[in-house]
Amino acid sequence: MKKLWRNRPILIALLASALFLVLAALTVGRRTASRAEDMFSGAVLPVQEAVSDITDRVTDFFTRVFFPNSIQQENERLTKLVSAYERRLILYEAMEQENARLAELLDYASANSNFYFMTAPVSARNLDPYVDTITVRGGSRSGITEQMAAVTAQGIVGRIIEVGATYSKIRTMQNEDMRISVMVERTRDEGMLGGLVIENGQLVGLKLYYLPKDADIQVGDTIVTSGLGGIFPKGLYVGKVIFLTDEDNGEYDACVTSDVDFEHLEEVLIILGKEG
Amino acid sequence: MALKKHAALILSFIAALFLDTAVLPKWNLFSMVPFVMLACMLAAEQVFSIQTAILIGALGGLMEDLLCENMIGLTSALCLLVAVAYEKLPKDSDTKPIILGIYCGVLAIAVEFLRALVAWVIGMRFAFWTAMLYGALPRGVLTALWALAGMAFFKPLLKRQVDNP
Repeated sequence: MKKLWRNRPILIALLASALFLVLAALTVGRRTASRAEDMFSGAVLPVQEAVSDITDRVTDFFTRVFFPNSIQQENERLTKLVSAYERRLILYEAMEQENARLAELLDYASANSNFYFMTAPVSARNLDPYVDTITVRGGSRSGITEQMAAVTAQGIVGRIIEVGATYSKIRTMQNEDMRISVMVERTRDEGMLGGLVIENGQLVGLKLYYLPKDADIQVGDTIVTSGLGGIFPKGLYVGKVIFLTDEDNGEYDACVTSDVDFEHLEEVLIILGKEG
Repeated sequence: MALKKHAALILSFIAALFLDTAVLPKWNLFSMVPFVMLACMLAAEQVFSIQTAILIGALGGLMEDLLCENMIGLTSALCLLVAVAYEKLPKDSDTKPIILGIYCGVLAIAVEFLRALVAWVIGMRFAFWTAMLYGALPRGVLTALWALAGMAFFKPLLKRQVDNP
């Protein structure tokens, strides 16, 4: 063998290369390692990792020494990229929230398909309790007229009090002068809702009064519009009774709270009309 | 001196393995990567013997394939074929480095050609001429330069060994 190795190296090289080619052909496209390979890879893995680690450090060192600007530029580039991604994330979250709100409004509109609705984004708000109004995009050009009702999926928002060509102002339920004819959904007792119940400087709810003396109203009862007055269609959700007053009080019978978050309204539905 | 020769060969082998598998794939100029193990083998063949080259080519190629998870044995086979081809090329003791460099460069390009051929045979998509022009050609030239540098590095060791047997 030693003689052959000395005298016929080319023959040995050709035979070995043929064997290696066979080995290569056998390993083409093979994904799992044989036991021998596995053992070998297991043995060289720590070395491979150490070599890789050293290489990374050496590369990093020389890059810092010879290309300091490139690191700075890379840093700036990545900082800009992160900022751009953060902006996109904020935009995405805003879109996601808007999508959820609009989906909710759409559900509400679908559940009340006997009405014609128009979605109006809120463009400004004045939350002074005595002049509480919000301004929405969409006015006479969109078919909006005064006294139309504005609602959300959480309940009644208010009514249109002023209409421009491209904007409308809504007087909300939280306005001191707002009055709505309502009824207790369970007992069908009718009454009037309006005026603010304020305790310790905090708005607690709206006053419900003019209920019949024998009205069987309870805490938790649902209040809906009665349809009287012609502004708000009958049966729209307004809120829930949170407490009753003493019979001797005389000023109002119960306090009703609305589920509408007036401070964070972003879109409302304007009821343009009724089918038929 | 023989010990020095062997030590230099083993160190060169380890350095070539380290460069081919860990350094050059990550850190290179314009993606031009010389095949250092092939250069080491050719230098050893020119300065020492074809047996030394066969050992370096077979072992080095096999280890590179295993470390880089290529088709196991392909690099060894190509290195051995190159060793045989280099042995058959007309050379004498006066062969100028430029001629040796051309030999090495052509053989390195041949390795890339064979590799491309294998890739095509096993059905891989391959932009042949692009790979030849922008991959194999600069790789061949760089490999030839490394091989010439290796020859210059190994030669004094052999001379001293001959002078002081």
